[in-house]
Amino acid sequence: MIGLKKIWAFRKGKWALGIISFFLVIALFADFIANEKPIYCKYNGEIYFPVLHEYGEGLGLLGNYEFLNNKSWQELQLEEAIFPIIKFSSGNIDQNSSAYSRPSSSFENGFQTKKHWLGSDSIGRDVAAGIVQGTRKTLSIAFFAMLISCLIGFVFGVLSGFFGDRSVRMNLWAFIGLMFFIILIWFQWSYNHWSFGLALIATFVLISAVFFLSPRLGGRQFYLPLDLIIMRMIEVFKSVPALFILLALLAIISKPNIFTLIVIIGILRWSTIARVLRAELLRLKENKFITSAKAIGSTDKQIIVNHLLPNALPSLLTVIAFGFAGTILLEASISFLGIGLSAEEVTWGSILSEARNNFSAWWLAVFPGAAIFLMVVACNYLGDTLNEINLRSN
Amino acid sequence: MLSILQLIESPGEVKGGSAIYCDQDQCTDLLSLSEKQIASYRGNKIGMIYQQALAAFNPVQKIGRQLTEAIKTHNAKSAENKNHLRNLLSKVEIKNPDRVIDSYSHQLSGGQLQRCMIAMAIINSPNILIADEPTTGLDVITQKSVLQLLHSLKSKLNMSMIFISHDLGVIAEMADSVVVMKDGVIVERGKTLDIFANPKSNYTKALLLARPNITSKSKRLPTFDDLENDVDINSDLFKPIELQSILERQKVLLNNSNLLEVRDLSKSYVVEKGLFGKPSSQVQAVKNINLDLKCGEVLGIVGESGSGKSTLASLILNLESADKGSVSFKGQNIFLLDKKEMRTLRKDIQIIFQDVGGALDPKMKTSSSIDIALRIHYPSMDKKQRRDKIISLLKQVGLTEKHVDRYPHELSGGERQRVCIARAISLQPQLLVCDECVSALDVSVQAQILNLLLDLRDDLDLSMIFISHDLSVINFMCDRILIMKSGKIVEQGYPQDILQNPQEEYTRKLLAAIPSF
Repeated sequence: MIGLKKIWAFRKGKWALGIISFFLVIALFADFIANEKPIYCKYNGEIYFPVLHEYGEGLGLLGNYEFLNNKSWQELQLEEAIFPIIKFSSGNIDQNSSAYSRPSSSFENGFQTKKHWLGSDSIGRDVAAGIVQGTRKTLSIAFFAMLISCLIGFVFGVLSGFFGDRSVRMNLWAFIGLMFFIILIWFQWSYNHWSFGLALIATFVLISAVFFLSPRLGGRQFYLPLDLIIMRMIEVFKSVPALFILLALLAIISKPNIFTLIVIIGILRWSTIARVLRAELLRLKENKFITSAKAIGSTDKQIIVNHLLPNALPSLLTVIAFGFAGTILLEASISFLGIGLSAEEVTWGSILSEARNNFSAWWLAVFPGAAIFLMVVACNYLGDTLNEINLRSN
Repeated sequence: MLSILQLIESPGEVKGGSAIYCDQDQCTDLLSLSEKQIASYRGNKIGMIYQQALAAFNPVQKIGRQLTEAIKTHNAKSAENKNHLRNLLSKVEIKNPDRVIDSYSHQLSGGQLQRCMIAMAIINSPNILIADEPTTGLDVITQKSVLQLLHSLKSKLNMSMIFISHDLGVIAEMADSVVVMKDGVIVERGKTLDIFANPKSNYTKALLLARPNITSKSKRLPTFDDLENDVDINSDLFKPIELQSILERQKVLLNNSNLLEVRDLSKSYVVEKGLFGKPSSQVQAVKNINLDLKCGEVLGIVGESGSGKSTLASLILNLESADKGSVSFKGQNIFLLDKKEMRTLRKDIQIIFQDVGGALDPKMKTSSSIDIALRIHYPSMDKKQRRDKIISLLKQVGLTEKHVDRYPHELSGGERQRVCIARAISLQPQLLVCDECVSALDVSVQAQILNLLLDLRDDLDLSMIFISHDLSVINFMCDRILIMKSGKIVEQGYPQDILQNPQEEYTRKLLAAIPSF
């Protein structure tokens, strides 16, 4: 594993780690940085921690504060209070503030002074709060989408790089039968309205059953050209621009939420990881330590887990870092087009898209744009650094 | 040596000193010259040839073009003249220069490439030729012809030569005077004959003594450490063994049962495939090999590179599948075993490779490399037992507890090979296959490893198949020898018979090519 210390030794690595950890802190403590509720307050002689209480409510452990009575905290006469730096939540439309207020314009709502540090949008939502809360969404979408694409990429990379064209033997008739039934299942799905999940599970069960049984069947065997199949599959996949697939998929799904978005982006990005892993495995497989591992009786699984993956990891990390940057950009661009998450969910891209409606509100373009820029540059710097470390250690 | 021509790469640098080049009363310090000035010396007055000829040529340019390029930089006029090129190549005794001119580097053999590199170095008849291990990658027969070529060129062109080598036999053949270096310091210098007859420093003595002898066989080889620790090198341990006791051992072995039987083993590799995937050209790496190995015997397999020795080894271990034939271990045909049975059997047959750098996972500490082997075959051992076992194994192969938590790049070549051996014997195998396991090590480390292997043979009752291209090493290690050439067994028998009285032409050629002192 490449240590953080090694990354810190590079100029680009310092920038990358700095920016990424800055955004990570923001994402983790978003509720404490931008919130309309006070972090700590004293009301009628009692001490409250409304932000922490919110977590309790979210988990269903704690009830509402009854005295609030649908009023906001900021309308109460608090004896003592510590508010977050940004006194807005991202989604909340502030009735008191006007739309398109300039950065660092402040106003009184009768109880206290509030400030739009980075201005507000067309319906009076605070940009700073949006960016802070959006950080969490952007990072988690990118992280989980990469996790999904890593899992898919690992499976296909190992299948094509390690097993390749000449190690999986199959009964010819079992293979032909398999193909027939798979086509049958998907025919049922498209014409007889089987559910998508059922079809997927049936395919998976069928494939694993055939893989399990067919070596035991004997009969006419042939080598299943896994590498060939997977590589051609990736080429077909790659020949369609990712954004078009994304648009098509989002058009099918009626109400995209954060999870569907994660899954879709994850499915789009696995091919690079699979390719790099395949190339690495092909190179590593020729090493004598793999032959040694075979000679001491390691199973294929042990060879992959103990020897191949740890040695392939440095190059994979580079790809993952670049992929992270790509995912953030992809998410921002679909939010910008307004087809991703629903309008209430504020992300960097959705704030940016507001700028299309009013060109004079430059802050709507500059600040979320800068956040995207910084994050993408940081990821690319991280990728560069990892690549450099990898090259030097070879 | 690179420092003389200012070819040291950053971060290395020359820390003072001087290298003075004298040409007809005119002396210059090469180290004080600027980059531009030194360029006129490189290749022009001082030529250089390297160890890896294949790496020294540009793989995407034809040899002829690269040679022309070299001529051009020093002498523009004659460059375009193809005859000039042909003369040059015939000077280095290349038989069909036209073919070589039109070839890429990967199409030529190691010997031919080495000749081309020599041709490049002598284009401008330099006064000094620096040869950095020029024959190390070559087999003995090619080595001999390259050495002869260098010898004749030296006298023809009246050059001086700096010949760098780890092989004392080669040095003895080539050099007039010798400088012995260790850890960057000159240990000893003198006339070749003096040094070989009467070495002064312990290191030189060790180098000379540690090389196994082709004519006689001793119980152990003396090492540098033996000399440093004042072990009596005249004791019986290091004296040649009487022929009588060799014969006795061979007789005992003859009555043992067969551990391994190889019958009709063949393997070929497809080089080229036709349009529909039918192989159109293939190389027969192993051809109808039959051999028996007795329990407790050490069988030597000799042959030049490409003779199929390593393929034979990986077939015996079932690491590759054979085309034809069978390998029986204790009467059981291992090609008929299923995956699970084969994995259990792997415990009994172990292998050590030549490539000491590649045989250990670079991301694994010594302890986990061995630990994995133990975990597979002794699942009942707990963590502490395994750790104790690893330490005792490392001690058995001459390493200490401090090597347990080191990564391969923190170990020297000899230490890595010891770790490989420790891993192999951790499974208590009955058969150990050593595939050129000492050829990448220098002579004194080689002696240590060979001693260790012989000790293990006696302690653990190991049978061994010992593959090497070095006949003297084979003579030291083995009870019986097979000589292989292009996939076939050419000759087999006892070392004392084959080495003293070879029957086959090829064996005689192999023996004659060994440099000796």
